[in-house]
Amino acid sequence: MGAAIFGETEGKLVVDVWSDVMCPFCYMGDTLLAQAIEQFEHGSEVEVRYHSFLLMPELPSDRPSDLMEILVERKGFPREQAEAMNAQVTARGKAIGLDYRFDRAVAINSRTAHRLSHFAASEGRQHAMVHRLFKAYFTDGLNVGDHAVLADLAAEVGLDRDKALHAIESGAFEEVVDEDIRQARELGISGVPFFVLGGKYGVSGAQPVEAFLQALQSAWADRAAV
Amino acid sequence: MASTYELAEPQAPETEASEPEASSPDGVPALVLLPVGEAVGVCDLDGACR
Repeated sequence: MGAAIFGETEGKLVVDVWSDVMCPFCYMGDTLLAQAIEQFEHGSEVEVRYHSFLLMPELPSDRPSDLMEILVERKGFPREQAEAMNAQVTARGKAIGLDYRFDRAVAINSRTAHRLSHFAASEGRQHAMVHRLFKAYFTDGLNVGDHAVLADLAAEVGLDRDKALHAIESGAFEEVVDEDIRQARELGISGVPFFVLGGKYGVSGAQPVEAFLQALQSAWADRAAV
Repeated sequence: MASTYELAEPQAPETEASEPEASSPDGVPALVLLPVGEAVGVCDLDGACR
């Protein structure tokens, strides 16, 4: 998946998304993009592909941490400010139907979750998998670095649990994650979510639905003009 | 760092796109960024979300 980000897939307009499961705005952005696609008149001809971006690659993959502790003690944010801002994200999320529970969030290296996302892509279930991973992290307080938890989540979205577990434990899709990160660097992406429509138009951040619609229309018009 | 999540109110998209830039030397296509203006709702590698 990582090597062919630009261009069309079977005549569809491709939206490539760089995101991380532990990024609150990525969850929002994914939801807002989905709403825009629903409103877009050619929405059925849009294909979304998810690419990996690790916001905290330094986190251990076998030792969960408290998110607030990381923000305050490692990143240096004042606790009151971090809590207030989490509350703002929670409120904004609620407005679009998302239930953020930062008090439950279990911070962990997200690389294995990304590999699972790519496994799901190979099985045609990436969007459902990514959405479930976001909910697992932000709402359910699950450890998305735990192999058994990830396998259970895979089964929830219709994937074969044993096959998913094998992919997780065998280290499959490591090279896809690396390729995505390399491509993000080449494109100059320094923050997520970041969306590339039709290989040409970039949208940075969890923009309003109208912004995504505008980008979809621009990318579609370009596509039609070719 | 000033804050963790510096939320800006979502802005209405501009109607005009930024001018496309030439491809980079290694052939990576430059992107046309939409909408024009400050990005909102982004998390970066420093752990900041704004």
